[in-house]
Amino acid sequence: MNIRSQIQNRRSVASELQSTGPGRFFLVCLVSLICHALFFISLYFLHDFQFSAPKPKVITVDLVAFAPGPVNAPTSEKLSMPGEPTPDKADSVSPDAVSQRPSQPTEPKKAEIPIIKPEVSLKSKPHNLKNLIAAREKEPPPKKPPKENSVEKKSKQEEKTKKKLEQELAKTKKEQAQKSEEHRQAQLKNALERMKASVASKENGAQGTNPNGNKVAGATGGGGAGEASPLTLYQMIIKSAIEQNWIFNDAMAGLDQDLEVRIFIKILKSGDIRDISFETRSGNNYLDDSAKKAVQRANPLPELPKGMFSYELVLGFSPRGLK
Amino acid sequence: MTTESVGLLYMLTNAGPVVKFIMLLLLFFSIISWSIIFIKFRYVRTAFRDSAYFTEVFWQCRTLADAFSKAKALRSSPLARIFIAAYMEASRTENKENLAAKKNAGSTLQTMGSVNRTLNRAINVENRRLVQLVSFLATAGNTAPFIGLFGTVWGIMSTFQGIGLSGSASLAVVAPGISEALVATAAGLAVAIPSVIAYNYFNDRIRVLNSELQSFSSDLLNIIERDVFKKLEA
Repeated sequence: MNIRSQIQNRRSVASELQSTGPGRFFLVCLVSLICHALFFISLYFLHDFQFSAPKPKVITVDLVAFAPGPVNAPTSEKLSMPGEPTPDKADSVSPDAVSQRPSQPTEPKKAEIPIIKPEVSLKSKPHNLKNLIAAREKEPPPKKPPKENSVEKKSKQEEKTKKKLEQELAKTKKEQAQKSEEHRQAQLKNALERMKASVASKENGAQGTNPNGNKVAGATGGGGAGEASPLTLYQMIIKSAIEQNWIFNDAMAGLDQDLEVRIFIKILKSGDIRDISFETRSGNNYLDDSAKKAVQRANPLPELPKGMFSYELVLGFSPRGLK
Repeated sequence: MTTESVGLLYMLTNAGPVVKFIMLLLLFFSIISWSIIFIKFRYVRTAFRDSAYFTEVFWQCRTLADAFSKAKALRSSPLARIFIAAYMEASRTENKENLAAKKNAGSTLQTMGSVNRTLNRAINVENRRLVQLVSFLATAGNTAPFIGLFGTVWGIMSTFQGIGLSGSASLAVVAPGISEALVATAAGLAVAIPSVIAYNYFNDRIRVLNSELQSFSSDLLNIIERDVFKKLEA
């Protein structure tokens, strides 16, 4: 009797425990799962939740302007909003253009064996830039005054560049496949030079304003290199110049890899870019913006090959790369 | 500067397999812990409400039998349940005594002992039911941040590997990967915070209920003792 009642007691306890047991628990788990799904779906549709914190406006400050020494350029032109197209690139000096001046692509970058010349460092960059600004102020057609401390080196460099250019010509006619490899090597060299340049600029207390800038200084703007160079080579140079200035991350553009924005530009004889306009927009603001900025940063490009007075072309940017 | 902002979902779908696995694990934790929170909250709330009501009713009743009939209607209250268990045990022994038609102090002592043991056992059962799933909340609250952190560390590791391969360390290359990795930590915290809050809340409530059970069982024992001795004297 007693044992039986105890067993009944046990059973009743067990059944009571099971009344809030596995079955109901799984039901509630299902409800919870549905709630989570709803939460994520609402996240997907509520675009307010996405990282839309108000972004402060970026002000690009050319620190070179604040370097000690006489500065001829008016300071009002030292501040500019990125993305705001400067109306007259040839006459007025925009800080972007100034800071980008040393980052023009040069033929030595296309060498197969990267030769790093630490002597052609940025130690003279601010000085050089001041000269440059002054020169630009005086005469509208921009010409770099030769640097006092490295004239011999520059002449040597020019000879080298000529030789290399001729080699390069032969190569491009023979094999186009090496292009990518060379580009990679150029990038490697650029990275090394950038590091050196940043160290040097830190030592000088002058800092570049953009992360991609501060490449090798003392480029001659392709002036001596323009002799009888074909258009294809020039296009390659442009492509690499703009690609180096293109800051873009495809993770930020969204899922669509087939987006393409086409930008029409006109290049003057001096290498200045005029008439930047969208031929077709991709619909993705981030891609459009980054492409336009890349073109503006690459300005001015090296001079056109001789015999050409202006050159019009369309650049196609897509998350896969630059056309 | 109008950059098209990236949704969390896109980030998750673009993450690596390890980060994905960790996010799924955290999602599982979140689902389970929320369902536990839901179940326990309802259970504890009804237990509290009905127990308060039952004590009120119990002290108004004149006889134990009366209270027993009231308690049967309030089966969701742990107090009512231990009362039912104790009353049934007491009535059983009393019935036996009535059948034997002998009343002595020894049998009353035996009755008291059995009722006491029954009460203890009922309280144990109630406690077990109260703390049944709560320990998982503690587990989730303690481990979820670390799981998320693991995902973040892993994601940043692979991001840096990517930087090393591409050779460019510009902010545009580094930042999205790191923010993607940080989503794991955010998810871990999002799972852990409610779990910890709920765990502490339930612990507190369970402690209160437990003390109520103990004090009620003492009261009940006193009442039954008095009742039995009255019957013995009568």
